[in-house]
Formats: sequence, structure tokens, C-alpha cells
Amino acid sequence: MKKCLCAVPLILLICFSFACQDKAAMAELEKYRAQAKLEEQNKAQAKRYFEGLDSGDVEKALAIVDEVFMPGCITHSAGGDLQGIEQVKQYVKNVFLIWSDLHHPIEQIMATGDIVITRIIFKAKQTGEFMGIPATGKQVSVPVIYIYRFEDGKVKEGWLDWDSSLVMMMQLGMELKPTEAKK
Amino acid sequence: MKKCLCAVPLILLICFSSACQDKAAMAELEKARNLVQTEEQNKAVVRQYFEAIDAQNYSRVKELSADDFSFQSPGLPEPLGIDTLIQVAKVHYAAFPDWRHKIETLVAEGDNVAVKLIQNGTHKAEYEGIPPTGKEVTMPAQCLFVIANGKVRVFWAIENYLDFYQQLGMELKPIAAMK
Repeated sequence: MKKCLCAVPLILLICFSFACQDKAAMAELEKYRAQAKLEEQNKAQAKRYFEGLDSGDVEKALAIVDEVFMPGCITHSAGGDLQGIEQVKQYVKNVFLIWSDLHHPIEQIMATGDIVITRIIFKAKQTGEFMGIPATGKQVSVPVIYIYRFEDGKVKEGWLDWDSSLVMMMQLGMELKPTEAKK
Repeated sequence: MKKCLCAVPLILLICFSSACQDKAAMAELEKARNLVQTEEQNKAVVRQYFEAIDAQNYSRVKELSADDFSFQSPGLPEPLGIDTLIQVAKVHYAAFPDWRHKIETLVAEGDNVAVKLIQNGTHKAEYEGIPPTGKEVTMPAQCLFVIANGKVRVFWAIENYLDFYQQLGMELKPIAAMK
């Protein structure tokens, strides 16, 4: 009888310490799981935006902008900042005026914390005026990087990197010449 | 006596199942912790890579590059291997001897590393037929890396070349205008 009674507190102590260790570890694990889930959700949202553009339907693309971007979002691009979701929608409308046969295959996508980075290829046909160049009907295919910062599942801040613009301009029939060449 | 004996197997069963659950969860936790560690190591590889380039330490750059290394950038018809990239770097540093890469943001997910950086240097010698301007030129870049076993396997660079050439006194003109 006495031997049994001695063993029980010891066994209870062991169970208790397992449970404690388990709790701290579980909390840490839950943190990693939650983070991984959030990153997957953010990636899916980022992909949705490109799906909208590739649908060929401007209304669908605009509806998806509402799903993906926050009303008070800010988007930085080489041409200036887009303040708020209405300007993002205007940007999307302009894209559809300038380009046809839009296709944004995603070559690389990564998420870390609240950031999603995508390397896509911007493929389109120029059917409207673009940066002073009248519609050429030419196809462009240019790698571009888009970065998004998410908050509560929507884009809070974006960076449209159009630093590939030299390549795009060359595909549209432009070339680099020294500025003095005209004189 | 009997009550005690009944309780002991039950307590042992609880301990055992606790330990089991704990084991699977611990394995998952270990995996998550290892991934974070790998990501930190991969970021360190990228930092060392740019330090080696800035120091023009090309043997180190090669050491940090995997056997199937490829460099890609918009406008390149084919990816470049490490030897070709080193040649390109040498040509660049001959014209811009103080060229530096300053990392602004560096993030990783698994084997993918993304870098936002600013490059700058002085145009001291002829570059692609452009006589030296003596100008301090800056060129932002966004790079994506894939790291494998502590070495760079894929290096994508998207750099603001249009602005770079404009700083050197070039401008865009329609190709037809020259005829």
C-alpha cells in the first residue's frame, strides 16, 4: 500500500512536467503553423490579382482588386504612387486600354511574414498608346517583380517594379542613343 | 490497494499518449525551427556574395556559386554561368572601380532569398562605348536567389538599366528615327 502511494505523486509529477513542456512547445508550434497558414493565404491573394488581369475581363479584374487590396492601400511604382484602391482600379483600367492578351505567368513566389514577393513575366500586346509610343501591335515579354505587404489578408502596400522598362521599350521598337546624336 | 493498482495503468496510459503526441508535435516543431535556421544561413550566403563582388574577390564568388549556377536578367537571351558573370563584373568594375551593392532589405523563405538593394559607383573609364563622365551613378535592383547547400544556384537580377543609361547621357529614341 505504501509503495503504491509513493509512486502515484511521482507519476503525477512526471505527467505534469510533460504537460508543461508540451504547452510551451505547442504554443511555439502553433505560432509557426499560424504563420505558415497566413503566408499561404497571402500568396493565394497575390495570385488572384494576376488571375484578374489575365481573365481579359476588366470588370472581373476590378472586382478582384476589391478582394485583394485594402481601401487605404498605397502602391509604389516608378511612375509615382497610387494612393488608395480607386487609383489601383484606375491603373487596372489603363492596363486594359494599353494592353491586350495579358498573361502574367508566375515564375517564382515567396512569402515571409506579411510580405509576398512574386517574379512574373508580363506578357501582352500593345494595342493602345504607352508612354508616348503609339500602338505598335507588338508583343512584349518582360520579367517583373511585384512585392506586396499584407494586413488582415489584403494588400496594404505594394511595390510595382518596372525597372525592366528598358527591355520593354526595346521590344516596342526603341533604342538607346547618346543624347547628343540629334545635334 | 486495488484502487491504487487501477489508477496506475490509467496514469501510465495518459503519460504515454502525452509523450506520443508530444513526439509528433516536437518533430514538426524541430522542422520549423530548422527551417528558420536554414533561412538565416541562406540570407548570410547572399550577404557574403555581395561582399565578395564588392571586394572583386572572384574566387570567393565562385566558391559561393553552385556547379549549376545561373544568372538571369531581363534582356539576356540566355542565362549566364558563373565564369561569364565574373567577366561581366570585371568589365563593369573596370569602368566603375568603386561600384558597391548596398542591401536595403533581405528576406528569405526556405531556399528563396529576396534582396532589395542600391548600387552606386563613379563612371571613371569608358563603358560600352560611353566615354567616362566622372558621374556618381546609382542603380536600384531587386534580386531573387535560390540557395542550395549554402551556395547560390539561381541569381535573378532586375535592375533599373534605363535610368542608369540616362544618367550616363543616353536616351530612348525610336529605332526608325536613325534612318
